Amino acid sequence: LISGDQTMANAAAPQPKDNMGAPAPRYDARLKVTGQARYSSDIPVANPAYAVLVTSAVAKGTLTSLNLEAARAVPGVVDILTAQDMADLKQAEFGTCSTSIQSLGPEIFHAGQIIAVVVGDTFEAATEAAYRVQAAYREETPAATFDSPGVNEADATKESKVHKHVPQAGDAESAIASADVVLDAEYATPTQHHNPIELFTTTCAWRSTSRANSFMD
Amino acid sequence: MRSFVYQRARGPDEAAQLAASATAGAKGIAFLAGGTTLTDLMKLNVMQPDTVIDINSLAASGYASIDLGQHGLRLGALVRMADAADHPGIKAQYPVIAQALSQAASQQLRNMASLGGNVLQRTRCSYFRDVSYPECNKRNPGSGCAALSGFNRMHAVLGGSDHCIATYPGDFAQALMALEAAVEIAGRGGGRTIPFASLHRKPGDTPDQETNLRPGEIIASFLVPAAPWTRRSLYLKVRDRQSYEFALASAAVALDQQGGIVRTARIALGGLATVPWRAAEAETFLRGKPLNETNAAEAAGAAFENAKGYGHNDFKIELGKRTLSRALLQAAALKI
Repeated sequence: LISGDQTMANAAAPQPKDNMGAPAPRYDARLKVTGQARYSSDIPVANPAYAVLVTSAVAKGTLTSLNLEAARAVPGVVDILTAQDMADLKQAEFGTCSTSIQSLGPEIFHAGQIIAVVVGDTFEAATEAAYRVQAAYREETPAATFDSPGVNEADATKESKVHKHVPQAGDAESAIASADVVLDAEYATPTQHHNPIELFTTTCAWRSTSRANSFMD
Repeated sequence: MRSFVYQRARGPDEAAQLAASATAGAKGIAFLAGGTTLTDLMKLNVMQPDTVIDINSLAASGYASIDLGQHGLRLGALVRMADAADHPGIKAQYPVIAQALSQAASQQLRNMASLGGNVLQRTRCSYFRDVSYPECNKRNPGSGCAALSGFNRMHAVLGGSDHCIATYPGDFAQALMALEAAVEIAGRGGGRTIPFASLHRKPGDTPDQETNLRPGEIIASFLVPAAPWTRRSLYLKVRDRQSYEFALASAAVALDQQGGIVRTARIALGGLATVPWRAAEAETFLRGKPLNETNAAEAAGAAFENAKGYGHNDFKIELGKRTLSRALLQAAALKI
């Protein structure tokens, strides 16, 4: 929308840099660009076990079986966690659709959902065993875009259980009505992922029987 | 990662011997040079060789040398991509080679990767690289092709079959195609030399067989003949971002041009086809014509006459034509 009157104040669109604060150097920038930053997987711990994730090959459906025989036979495998091991965990209110180990199935909500965690003496053993886990699925059609069947649309102008407050700023309708030029077009953005420098690793160190310290990134 | 036997060959003969003795009772062997493809695919469980034969010591047998003479250019298979890309003589006399190499991968990868390994780089098809997809005729012959009806934006519009539409991913190979290079191959019972154009196989109904190398054979070197058109050559690569990315469309072009008229054009396309792709129809069209915008566009049209899109990659046909057209006009305008 191009307004004929650029001076019309609109709280939702401040002047450039008005809401940015003073520029400050990133705290860890120098360490990162010089390769000196230490990530959690760079910090050695005594006698570690390594966990490797097995993820869903389907985007929606149900895990019908998980054959662990070949995986357990790999030398160095300590244990393999599956949905059964997670049954006693409380379900997170918003966790089911993210990459969480709380729900290892059998219901599959998205591609790449974690369905098993293989623990080994070495990273290589856990990796090899993870590849040997055989999963079977009852596949359903996933809803991956706005227009997919099965998608529930929420009216953004109404309050809902999740969005208890509808933010209001300016007066879009009268601005459009009085604008000299109105552009009405649809734009699509390409898939863009934020890729942090570090690989996703988490180290957990048990320092006593009652307390775990974890370094997560 | 699965266990495997690691062996180091001290020379070409030993490489062939080790390969022959390993083949006897094994599921698969692989040669290791730069390792930038092999170790990656081994970690992904896509390649599972029982035996890995390290051939880096063959550098002492002339496998890592660049010889530039009046009859042409010889590139040893173990020359690192970065060394060929930065070679002043190659930059001046065979610019299409230097440009194709310097636009490939990243500096770190170019420092590691060998030229021989580079032309044998496996496809980036995500259905091939992710073993959780059961369907891939390349990885698992007879299982089908998930890309045909799947997410195929990066896939080939030329040279595909009902069994595979995976794109050949490299850049350097197109330069070798356009310059009509030959490949020296070493193996048990002596070597042989074949045209580079005969190295790769279209997928047909055996997409798992990607080259005409026989078991145990390795690439020893590439021979690029000297010719008047090698200096009027270039590589144009179009991609989603300007570095460290595979081509959506690329063109290697070498022109023999006199008085504004094309005597012969040599053209290879990348990022668009299942193999390094010689655009013979476009070359024929251009013979004896001036290279203006109309002729460039018509030549590009001829190159894609039999192109086939599969949905997400339909745009590549038009993108490929424009890429080739632009490359031809740029090559014609080069001040030699």
